Amino acid sequence: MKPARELKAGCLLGMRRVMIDAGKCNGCMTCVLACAGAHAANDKSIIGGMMEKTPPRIQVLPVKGRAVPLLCLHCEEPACVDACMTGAMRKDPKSGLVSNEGGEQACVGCWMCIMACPYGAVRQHPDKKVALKCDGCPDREVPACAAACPMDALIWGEVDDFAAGRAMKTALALLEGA
Amino acid sequence: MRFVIIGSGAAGVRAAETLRQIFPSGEARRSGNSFEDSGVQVDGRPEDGQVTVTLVSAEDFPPYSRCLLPAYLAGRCREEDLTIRPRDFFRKLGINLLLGREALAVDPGKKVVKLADGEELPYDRLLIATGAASRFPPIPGIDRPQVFGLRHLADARAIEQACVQMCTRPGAHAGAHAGAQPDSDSRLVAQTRSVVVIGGGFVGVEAAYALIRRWGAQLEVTVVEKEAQILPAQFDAYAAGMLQREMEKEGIRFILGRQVGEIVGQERPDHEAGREVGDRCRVVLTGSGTAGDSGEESLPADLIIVAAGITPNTAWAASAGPAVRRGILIDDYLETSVPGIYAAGDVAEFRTLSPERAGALPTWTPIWPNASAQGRIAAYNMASRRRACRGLIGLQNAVEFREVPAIAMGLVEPPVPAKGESGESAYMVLVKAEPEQRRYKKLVLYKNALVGMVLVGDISQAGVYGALLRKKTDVSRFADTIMNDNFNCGHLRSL
Amino acid sequence: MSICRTCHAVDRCPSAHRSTNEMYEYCRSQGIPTIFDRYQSQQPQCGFGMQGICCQLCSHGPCRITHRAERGICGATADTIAARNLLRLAVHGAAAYSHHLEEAIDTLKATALGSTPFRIGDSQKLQEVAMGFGINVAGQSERELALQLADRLLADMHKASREPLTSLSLLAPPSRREVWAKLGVIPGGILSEIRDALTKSMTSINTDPVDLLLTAVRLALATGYLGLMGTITVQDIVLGSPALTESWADLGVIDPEKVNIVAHGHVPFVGTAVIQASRDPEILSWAKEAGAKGINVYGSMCTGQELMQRSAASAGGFAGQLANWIAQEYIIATGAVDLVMMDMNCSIPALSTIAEHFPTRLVSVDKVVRLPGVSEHVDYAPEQVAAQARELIRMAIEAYRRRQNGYRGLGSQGNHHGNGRPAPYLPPYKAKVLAGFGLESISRAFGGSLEPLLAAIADGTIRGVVAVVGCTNNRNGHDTTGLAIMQELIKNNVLVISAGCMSSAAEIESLMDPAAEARCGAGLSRFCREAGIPPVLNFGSCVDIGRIVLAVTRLAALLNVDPSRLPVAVSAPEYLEQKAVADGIFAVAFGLLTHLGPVPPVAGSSLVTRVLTEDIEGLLGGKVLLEQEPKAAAAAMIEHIEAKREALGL
Repeated sequence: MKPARELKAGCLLGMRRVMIDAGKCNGCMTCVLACAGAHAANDKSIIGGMMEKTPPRIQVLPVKGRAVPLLCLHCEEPACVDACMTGAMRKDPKSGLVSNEGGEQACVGCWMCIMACPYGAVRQHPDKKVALKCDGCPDREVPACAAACPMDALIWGEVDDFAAGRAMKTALALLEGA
Repeated sequence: MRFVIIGSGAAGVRAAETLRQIFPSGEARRSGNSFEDSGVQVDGRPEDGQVTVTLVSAEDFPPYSRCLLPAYLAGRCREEDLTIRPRDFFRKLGINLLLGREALAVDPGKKVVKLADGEELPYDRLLIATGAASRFPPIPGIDRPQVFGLRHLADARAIEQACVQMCTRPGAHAGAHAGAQPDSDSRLVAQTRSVVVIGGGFVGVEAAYALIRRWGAQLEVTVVEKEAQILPAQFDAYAAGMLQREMEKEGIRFILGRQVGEIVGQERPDHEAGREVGDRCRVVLTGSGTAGDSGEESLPADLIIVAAGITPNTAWAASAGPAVRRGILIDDYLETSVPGIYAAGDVAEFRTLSPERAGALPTWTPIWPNASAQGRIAAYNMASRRRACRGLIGLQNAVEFREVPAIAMGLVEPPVPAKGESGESAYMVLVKAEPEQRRYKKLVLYKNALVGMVLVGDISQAGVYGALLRKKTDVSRFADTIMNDNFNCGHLRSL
Repeated sequence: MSICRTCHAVDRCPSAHRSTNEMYEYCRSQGIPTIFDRYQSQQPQCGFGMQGICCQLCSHGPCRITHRAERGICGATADTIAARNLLRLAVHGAAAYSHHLEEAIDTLKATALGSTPFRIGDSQKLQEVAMGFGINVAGQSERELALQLADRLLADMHKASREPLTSLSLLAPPSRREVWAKLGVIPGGILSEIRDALTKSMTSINTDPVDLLLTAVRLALATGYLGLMGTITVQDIVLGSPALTESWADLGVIDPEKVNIVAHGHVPFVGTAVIQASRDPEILSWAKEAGAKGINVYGSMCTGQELMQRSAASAGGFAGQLANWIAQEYIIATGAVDLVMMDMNCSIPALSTIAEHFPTRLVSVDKVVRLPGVSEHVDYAPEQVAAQARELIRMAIEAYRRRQNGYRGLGSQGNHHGNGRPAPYLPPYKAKVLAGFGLESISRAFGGSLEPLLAAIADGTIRGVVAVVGCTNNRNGHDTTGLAIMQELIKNNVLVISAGCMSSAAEIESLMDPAAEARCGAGLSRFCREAGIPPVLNFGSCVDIGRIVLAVTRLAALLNVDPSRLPVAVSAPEYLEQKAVADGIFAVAFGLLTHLGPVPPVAGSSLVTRVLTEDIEGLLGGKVLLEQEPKAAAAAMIEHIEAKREALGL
């Protein structure tokens, strides 16, 4: 029997991802501002995001007085993709990025993905009836959050064994086979 | 290797695409991906290592989402928006899509599926993902032409058509009638059409909400639910009450605690001669109802939607061999009692109650995310990448009415201990109700593990609670924060 | 931190007080967000700001110090930025204290001239202080003395920074003055010191972290000897010195059948005038006419402490203390308060938001206090305060009538209960308080001398004294840390003196009831029982930290040692705002171990942190103790006290 888990971790290796080193985060929320800016329609800067009131996709969560950044891990077997009943949420086979935007199928805001994501990484769009999540900044060389982080708590790079193992451990601990 | 999948719903489509991820089209022999490499004995004769994936659907429409049918009825999406994959998706992946082809029988000996048109589809591995059908309770008059289920696109089309006819033909509500027919009977002009929805579960309330949103005051929509609350399978009474009040603000009427005893025809009044839609019926109610019930004995109905649950489509499959209880019985690897035949989605039921699935997790889990996950995991097992399917929560769902989202999971109301039973309940219920904010949060714990959850208003952490629920995590270590508005997955990571 | 037992949820309770927790739940149920909700929605907070290494002074900024950027664009280091930010905080505190002092001096003058409703309340103190300032008291009338003293104090405030402060040379122990002179931190007039500190802390003027810290010390000394000790002295002269008296605390003291007025803030003059006016039979008859049983004036924040401390004198009839800073919104949320008089300092902007939902009328009574949404102002003028008091009561009676007619406020929807009278929500708790402590009243309690207290300290019945003072803070739970520290200290036979919001905390939890001796260690318990005093002594408002300093000064003089050698310590377990920053630096400069609960925004600079927590002890005798965990903090202070005892041979 070939455990699927090895397969999944193996697939991650070599892919470029934003990795989180939560211990370094000091809760300054620069990533949140940068993410909002990167998704602004016109001026894709922090100021532009503030002017357009673009909602950010990355969150910095309070955990017992500490700040913990949370963005979509673009799981190998995303629960949100299983849950999506319109087919809008899908994992790009090449980039491995999971998104509910830009495809032929549209998100209708049924919140099944919110119900499914064990990290709480999918949220309701504040203004529209669609789910909002990290799209991995496919058009940028480095995702905006990682580029902006002054503390190196968000690192853009190739997933190494250690990071992959850590990510998988967390993911599997939460998902347990489902 | 020939993979045949019957049924193009969530499970079938997810299984087909997963098989094609494992065996990309035309590259089946690529190293590491070859079926033979997995060391599994192959019976049957794969042609030159070639893998075929065939998806068979009785419906003559590309794979679509049944969950979107209420949105279709509400006028929020068109037919073509119902499809769940891009137009060229199946062709590009190399999935052989057979639409409008009903499967009649399986011959497990010959390993063929017999189609209605006489064709025989040979298979090496078969997935039955035929889903379920609306359950029509045995009520006299349930076969009247005004009665519809809501399960297939055909149902939705029929309901839509009936509504259009009712609301736009002469004699319909004045609002839809401005300027026309000055000589028509004024009483008739003002007449509102009545819709009765039998069943206050998800399908029922979503259908009622959709019709009201589309047709507004032209339709009078009444939901009849035999339990004392709506959404009785998923939500507790408090949350159900909150959601009910939101829908009542839209004009939907609810009759709770009563059942439909009979659907009778009504004499056609003379002045309504010439109506195209079937006669108006009367829905006869039984039972005493809950407090505040008006006590009326029957309701007029121009259209009746039956949303009284679903029945797995097991009939033809049973003849082929797999053991059936409520659904087709499957093991943890989604295989039926017949080797090589798998089942997933609403048609399937787990064979055993393994210790870890005992308790809050049911054997039958008919909702979209579970069907999808089962289809995906079935595909792994069909491809001999053995993988158990565990931790699916059956009773869960997400809804939103009037911008109040709500999600429920698992056991939302702990069983009441029998009278005379001593000792404290092993259940603990944590509740935070803020009706003014239309917010409500309830967690049900059993021996320090989360077994049920209701969130209304703020649903952002539903998935995190869901993960705790599936994992049966001991939550006593963060008992002080679990009900906080700020509780999040970071609290788990610090464990 | 306590676990909430007042509601069905298992949330961690935000406050140490039942009444506050219940009010919080009540507001939530009414859909009204309050401070604890806003605190949660601010989480997580920015680490740069928390560590004091974000500089926003110029338009190149904000600059933040990270391992990648060890200097700001101008070249400022983390040390410069943190020290400069700290000094700017202290400047704010010094400014607010001097504003308070100036109002007090104006009141003294007007009172001397007979144009206020007040009479000189402590003429002995007037004589003593006037003498200290070199005024020839022989044959002078009270009026003449008061006028001259007022002028001397104003002159002291306005001195240049090179002219040494008279108040300091008058009140400070000689041994301290020597230490400060050596460091060059003896300040001049406080207004000049504020100007100098603000000038230094502008961009690119003074960027030496050590000099910036010494500037903060100098500024804090001016704040202490004028802003704190000057202010309380003048207030004692005008309104009378505190005398022992019984009072009550917590929201349960509110009587919804009366016209209810709350004096909220720090400056007690308007509050005192209103209490005095409320006893006027004519004014009382207005209230009776409106159907009220009477007029009650309650206290909130430090104004309440001032009134309570003097309720045996100028503030007779004071109805009790309601709450401190964190809980101020809940006073209004009871729905039973008709008018809140907001004097200088600590009226949060959320007051006007919550007042929209309730019948309460908000009136600012100081020209510096303005809140969006508050349009009624009766700005304190000493010469007019008698008339102002009558006007305020009239406004309150008007609000009372509206309340009785079912008015629920502008913003309340869905809270109407028909046309009937709105039901107030009043947690039924109240606690007895023995208040009015100060040097004079303590020695009076011991038969005219501090000797019994000294003897108890000397023989170890009481191990020492800790002043638990200052603000309240939600960072570690409302009043939770402060109360835990007080209880730990008294259990270990350490006498606690309290002032400011910490006094409210102790009052509500009955630590200022003599019955609290049951919660003490054996020695302190016996001492309290015999003296008939509680183990936590109410010294009043936060400006009364000056009163504590004077008490420690006297103690040191009696023992003939420098204050830094006494078995005493200071704790500001929940310090919040800028006045407390100046207070804290003063306490360190006075030679005391000074515990801070919330870590001040300096942790991003290792130099500033090290200077404040270690190096400064060699220079000034005191230092900062940073400890968030209450038991550990109490233990560290007790250890300090024991070390000092040993050094004194006790």
